[in-house]
Amino acid sequence: MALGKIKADTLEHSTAGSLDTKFVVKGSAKAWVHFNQTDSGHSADASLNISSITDSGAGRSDPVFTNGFSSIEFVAVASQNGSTAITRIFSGPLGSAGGAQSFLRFRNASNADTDSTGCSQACFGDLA
Amino acid sequence: MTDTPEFQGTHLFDRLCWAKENLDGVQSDYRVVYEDSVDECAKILVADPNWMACALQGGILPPVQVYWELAKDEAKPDFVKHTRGHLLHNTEPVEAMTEEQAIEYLIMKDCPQHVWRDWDSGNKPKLVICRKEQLPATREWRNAWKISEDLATDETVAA
Repeated sequence: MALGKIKADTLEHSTAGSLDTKFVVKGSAKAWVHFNQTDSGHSADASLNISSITDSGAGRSDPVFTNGFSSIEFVAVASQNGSTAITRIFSGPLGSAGGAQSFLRFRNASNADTDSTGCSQACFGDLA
Repeated sequence: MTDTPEFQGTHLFDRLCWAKENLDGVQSDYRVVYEDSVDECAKILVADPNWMACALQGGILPPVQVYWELAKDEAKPDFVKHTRGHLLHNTEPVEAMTEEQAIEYLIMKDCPQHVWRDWDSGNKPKLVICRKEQLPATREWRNAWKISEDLATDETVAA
């Protein structure tokens, strides 16, 4: 790629201390997505490193990564801002071994999966 | 049209970051409806707009066979961690696809293999490609949706 490069192992502030740049490289989200479950389109309106979202039912969505994680040991955090009925959010790696896919589940107080109009997920870990 | 840099050997994640900065997302109207279990409702696969832009642009995504190789590794009982991730980055990227070719690629990447390899062997298709407008207009009874028994290309396919 014809891009300029700045190489540095450490960033140092004049008074607030220093930061090892490996925290930036290793600690940034490697995949993220925002979408609306109630739209039958179910398509991402903003994302990075996502190839598709599978609508698996009410309140159930499974994003798939373009560049998957190196193992199932990655972190997937999620939030929603579309429904006051939703009381619980489940998010994590999907599958038995690999890091190719994650899942999102939104549930209401009656323990029923429920759609949200504003779903967000960000995933952290080592890429394959 | 923006020219794609020579990406073979560049980490796939870096290519995706380049694409996000340089390509406009493409919302596809195609939807892939499939059933991978008789006990579950039909699932609907939707292409990501940024991914679709990469597929239409060409020179960014690895061949779909690379994903199959990684899936083979994951299926091994002693699998712990990927050791062949370099296949994603070092294999020559695929050329530009049409939207229809991109959806076929996506099916072979993101749908379970037992669904798409054997999609038409039962009493009815296990997988259907349709347009967004052919899905039910609302999500009422979403968890009961199945591929229609009386499938016709010009009618609603899941109800």
